[in-house]
Order: sequence, then C-alpha cells, then structure tokens
Amino acid sequence: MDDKLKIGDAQLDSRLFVGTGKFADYKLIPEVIKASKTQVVTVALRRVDFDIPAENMLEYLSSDVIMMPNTSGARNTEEAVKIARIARAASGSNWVKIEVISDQKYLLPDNFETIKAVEILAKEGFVVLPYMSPDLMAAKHMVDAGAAAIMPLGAPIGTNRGLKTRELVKVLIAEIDLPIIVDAGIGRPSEAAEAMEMGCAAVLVNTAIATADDPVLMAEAFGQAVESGRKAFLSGPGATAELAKASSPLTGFLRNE
Amino acid sequence: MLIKIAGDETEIPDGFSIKQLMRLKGAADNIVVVLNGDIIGAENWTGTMLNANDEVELIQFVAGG
Repeated sequence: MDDKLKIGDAQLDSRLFVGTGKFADYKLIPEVIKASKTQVVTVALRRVDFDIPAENMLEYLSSDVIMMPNTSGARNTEEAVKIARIARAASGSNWVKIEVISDQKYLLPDNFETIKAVEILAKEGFVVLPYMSPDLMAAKHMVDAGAAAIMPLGAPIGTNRGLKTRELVKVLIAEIDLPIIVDAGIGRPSEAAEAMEMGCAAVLVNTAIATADDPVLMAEAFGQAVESGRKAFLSGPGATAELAKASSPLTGFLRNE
Repeated sequence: MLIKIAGDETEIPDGFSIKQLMRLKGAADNIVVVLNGDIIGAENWTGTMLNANDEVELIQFVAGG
C-alpha cells in the first residue's frame, strides 16, 4: 500500500514521530528508534555547561532519521527564530518544531507568537511544524504563514493524559488542508491509535515511551498502534447503531418460527 | 584579554583562536559556536581569532521532545 506521509521534501513510511527527552539513558534512544520504526525525532538545543557536561544527542542519531530540533525555551517569536537558525546551521536539517511557551504551569503554547515565527522561518526555507493549542483560526493563520504541518496538543506536555482536546483536533482535521499531528499528551498506544483513526496524519510521542518501565517495548507498541490506527482510518470504519444487529443468523433449525 | 562565554567574563590569552578556546575547554567538534550572534562552523574555528569583549555562546544538541 502506497501511503506515504509527505512533509516538505520527505515521504515518510512511519507516522510516529518520537521525542528524545526524559530517557534514563541516551543509549536507549537508538533502540527506541529501531523498535518504533520512527523516521523523525525531536531534539533540543542547550548551552554547554562545562561544569555539568551533558552528552551530545548527535552521537546517538543515525543519518537515516530526520532530526527535528525544537525551539524549547523560547518565550517569544524572536527567541524561537534565533534557536531555529542555530539549529539548522548546526544540524543541517531544515526541519524545525516551533515551540513558544511562556506559561510555566501548563506549558501551553503561545499561538500568536508561534504564527509570527512560522512566517519568518518558512520564508527562510525551513520545514516548519508548529506546536499549538488546537484553535481553528490560529491553525489557518499558520497555514497562510507557510507551515508544513500543524501540531495540536492532545493534553499538556508530559502528562500522559491522552486526547483531551479530541473535539478541537477533529475540527482541525476537517478544516485544515495540511497534515495534523497530535503532539503532547498521548500516554498510551490506544490513544495514538484513536488519533490516527480520527484522521490525524501522525502523532508525536515522547514521555509515554521514555517513562515506561520498558521504553523499547513501549516504542514498538506505539509503532504498531499508529500503523493500526492509520489502517483503520483508511479502511473506513462502519457505522454505529443503537440496537443490536446479529452477526450470525438467528433463524435456525431448532424451532419452527 | 576578557571575553564573555555564556554571559560570564572569562580571561583568555591574546590572539586566541576559537579552536584554541575549544581545546582549552575540552569541547567536542559537534558543539555549535556562536560568536557575537554569528554561527562559526567547525571548519572556521582555527582561522577565527577572538577579540576583547567578544561574546561567545557554546551550544549543543540534547534530548528534547
């Protein structure tokens, strides 16, 4: 079945994007990538602290996955644009996940600042995937600004609470002519499958995999759930009904009715 | 001479290149060097000399969602 997800110049077989945060050990990440079959992974940029050395994520990513640096830490358009430019120069990848957050309690994204960043970076040739609060009008502005996909949250980052924004995401799927990718909040493979059955183009999962007791097995489970949900969407689920409709013949040979 | 690294004033010898600074810091080649707002690729570290009051940011890729 030829069912590629087209974003920018890429044609992807996998519809699961994986975040690399919160893993107990960076060494798990190549295994997670392999088990999940993901082709897009997110990374972040930080100042080097020579007193507390952190491992460089680049050493754990092979060249056959697309690196999507995020702009985490940005509180406004200007900071997001600055991070994106540094990330592109450093990684060679022109993909960027725009993340502009100034709310520290719920980590909800600032759609207004995000739209402005999308416009600047799309003009500079970036493949821009904005993380956003699922709002139709904001999404339309992001489309006009040159976004390559729209990434609404399912629930606040890192909460594993699932598709709390279901109804609003459905509106985006119906009205926006770009891939809709649920990013944040998905806690279980069943929720990823549900997002895919609804018609999402992909999902981005991080915490749910990274905080599982066995992250590699959970990565595989998410990969299968996303594939399964996609196939269900493409197959066109049957209608629901209030009353039962027998799946087997009820008239038989025991009685004459 | 004094330069700023990540906002902190740091004393380095005159005529130091970025390459020498990186060696001094024990930094790997896949670190991103931003000098006064411009990204300096690793291939230009040897040829780029630091001047007094330069502002240097050293950035690397880390885990993130």
